[in-house]
Amino acid sequence: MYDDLNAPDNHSDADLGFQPPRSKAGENEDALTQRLPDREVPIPNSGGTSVLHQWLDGDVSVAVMRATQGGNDTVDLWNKIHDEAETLRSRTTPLYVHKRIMDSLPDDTYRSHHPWYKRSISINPAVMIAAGIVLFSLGALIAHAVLK
Amino acid sequence: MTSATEPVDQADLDQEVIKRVLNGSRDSFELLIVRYSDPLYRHALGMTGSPDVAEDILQQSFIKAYAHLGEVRGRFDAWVFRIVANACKDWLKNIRRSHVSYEEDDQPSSYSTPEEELDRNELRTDLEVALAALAPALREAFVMKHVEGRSYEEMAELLRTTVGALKMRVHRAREALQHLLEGKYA
Repeated sequence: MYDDLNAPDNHSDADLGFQPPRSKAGENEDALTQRLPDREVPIPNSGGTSVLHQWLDGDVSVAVMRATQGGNDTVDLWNKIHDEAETLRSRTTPLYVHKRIMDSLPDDTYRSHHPWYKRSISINPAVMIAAGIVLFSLGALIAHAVLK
Repeated sequence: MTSATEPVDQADLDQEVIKRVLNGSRDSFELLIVRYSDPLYRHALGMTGSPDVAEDILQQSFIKAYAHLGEVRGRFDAWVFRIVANACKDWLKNIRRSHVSYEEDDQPSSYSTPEEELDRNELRTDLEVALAALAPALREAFVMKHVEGRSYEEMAELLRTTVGALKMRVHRAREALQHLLEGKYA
């Protein structure tokens, strides 16, 4: 039994867990939001939150973000988060992991299904030259034998 | 995972390698591992917060990819990314962790003073705790956007969903993290 590895994101969007706190004004919009069939419709935001997303998506400058109420603190917080993300972004796979993966691959998964005469061969200049030499030699031998 | 200038060439190269593996050249699979392990490892690390778990997920995912290599449709990098991404989300759903992460971290320190390193370690722990509070789909969107630095369009292609849905997830994740961390850091 196998998973369908070509299936799209097989995790439902239905349970997105954390619900951000909403303003009292937003509470009246809950019923409306719940009725919306399409989850892509944005949830109404307060002004500051909206600017935060615009800033983090590169749509407005940091000066605009700082101009909002509590904007300086928010910018400082997100700069710290980005510094931490930058550290993670520089991480690379430990080299021993490559070997560990290769060592754990089965030896005969594909070999047994494809005998040598069914495998494709890759043609490159060296192979072509070698094949040419072999054919030429073979032809010369045959010609020599016939003419003898 | 492929740069904007060479997606077609890279995909063709991958297909060539896949053909060789399917024809019995097991060792050729290492080319795919070397080519794609770093972004996949970073994704698993961002999702789980644990280098050990990230390594295990990477290993299991590549074994799975090798076993099902004949089923690749389209780009290999996107296909194997989905294997890793689903493994991460399954791990997050199944595991209840008592503490966090990065504890096995053996990367060299880059901080100038012990105090600075202490502050960063505290932020790292708090950020990990905050990320752990997010639903897997929100964490995934946040990690792909802010840790891996992907565009919404690339995320949508990899996860086979819409840009709008991903923007929604990223926005919710940001608001959750902002709410969880601003009391201490802002």
